[in-house]
Amino acid sequence: MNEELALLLTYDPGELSNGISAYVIEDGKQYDGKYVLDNLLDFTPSVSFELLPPVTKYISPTGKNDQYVVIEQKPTMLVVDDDLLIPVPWNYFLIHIDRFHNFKVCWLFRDDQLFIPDEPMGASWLTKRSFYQCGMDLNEYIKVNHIHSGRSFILSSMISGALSRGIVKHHFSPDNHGAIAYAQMVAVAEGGRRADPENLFQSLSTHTIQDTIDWGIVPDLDINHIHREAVKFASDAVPSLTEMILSGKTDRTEDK
Amino acid sequence: VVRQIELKINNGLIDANLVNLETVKKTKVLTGLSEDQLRQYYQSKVLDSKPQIFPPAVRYISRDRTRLIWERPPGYQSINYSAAKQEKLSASSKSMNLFRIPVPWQVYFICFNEEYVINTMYMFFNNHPLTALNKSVGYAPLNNFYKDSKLCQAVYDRIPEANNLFQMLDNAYNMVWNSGFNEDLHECIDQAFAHNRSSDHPLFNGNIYKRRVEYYSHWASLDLDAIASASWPLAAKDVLQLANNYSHASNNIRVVQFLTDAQSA
Repeated sequence: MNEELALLLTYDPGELSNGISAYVIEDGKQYDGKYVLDNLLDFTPSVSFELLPPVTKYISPTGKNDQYVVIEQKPTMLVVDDDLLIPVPWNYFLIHIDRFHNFKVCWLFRDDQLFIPDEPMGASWLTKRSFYQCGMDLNEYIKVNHIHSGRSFILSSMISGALSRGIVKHHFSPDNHGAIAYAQMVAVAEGGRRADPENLFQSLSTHTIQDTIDWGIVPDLDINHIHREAVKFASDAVPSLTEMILSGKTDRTEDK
Repeated sequence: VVRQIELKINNGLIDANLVNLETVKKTKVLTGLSEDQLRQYYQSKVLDSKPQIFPPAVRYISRDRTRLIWERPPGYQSINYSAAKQEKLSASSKSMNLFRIPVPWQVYFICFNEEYVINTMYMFFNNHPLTALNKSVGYAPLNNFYKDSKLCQAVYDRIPEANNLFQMLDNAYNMVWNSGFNEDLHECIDQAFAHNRSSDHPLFNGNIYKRRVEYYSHWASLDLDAIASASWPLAAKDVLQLANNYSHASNNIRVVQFLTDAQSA
């Protein structure tokens, strides 16, 4: 590793990217240093979604690392297998996107709309332990559904996908912890019958949206919690300036 | 002014100068800051950040969270219009005319600071919801807007203080539609008429208004479908580019501020 590195950040009002370009000068060569700006000097939250879905509720400030997004849906009746209509209260997709663009999704319920970050958001079937177990690997979902790359597009597609049957179907597969726990909640609401995840949709279809709201939720996650997890992850992942320059540089000498 | 920040890292210690390339004048920004200090400062900034939930229909928020685009669907707005300039308005409301006008998709762009004080605001019209940020948007041909569809400075100077994004957007929306329209500024209407290329636009084509009251009266007589489906004269080719243009003024200052704050932290 060289002991001395020089970094020039040039401010050019005419440049549309972000007004600043950065170059690393080392051994007479010039390297692109934008990586440094993106990862350290620009400490503010990074949003790489060019066009947010209109129902976006939260985006984590995690820079170029893992990202958390929360998307809101109004109470509605969802069409699922065999054209059954099932009721859902206010519901939220918590989407975790890692640095390699792997996706995981949790489905959270509320009995009213979310306005304040520390209001609980969750359902009795979703615990912190099962946070990831409830998630699905969206890479498969994306492959199967031929969704192209680009986070904004994927998020928009996910909403429509969820409203058709993609996410719902995966979430309620019989071996899914969330489905079993949710079935238990429905069973309790129905008078303590034994939970039957296999027939969950059938059972749910006999209820109304108001029923699902009246069942209430057990406080579990809130956006404060998600936010804290996200920023801890982001801050743990910060490399040193030298590491970033050496790992992120690309040779610009040939451009000249 | 084109400026450079020179950063030198020697054995993990960072020195930095801010260089004005026109005067070749160098200003020392920091001396002997260790990389560990810089990293710790970065971490403290990230950990200090507060979670925010977004109001509905936010379509873009900049990385530094100082520029935001949001939109509203078509609907009706009741507006108060006075044919006089502000200084000639009497205290009574006799000179006010009330109109209920149909409004198409609206795209709002605002710049604000960390305390949610708005310093720039635009409103555009569209005949469809945003499908990408690099798409064109049209003039909002109302009084109180400059020729580029930017809201009159005097209006957003009166926008009340806000504590969060919800309040800020509520206040901004309220000021656009409910602060009253007068003849202090009519550039955007003039510009929209001048740029209208559509032969069948319900608001502009073939219509000559002797008085502005007639213009708003005609607008109020149109139905929502006609307004919502109309093509609006081009005001900005790329709304994201517009947003990016407003990032230039603060970026360099932010980097320098970050480094100097890290030194003193």
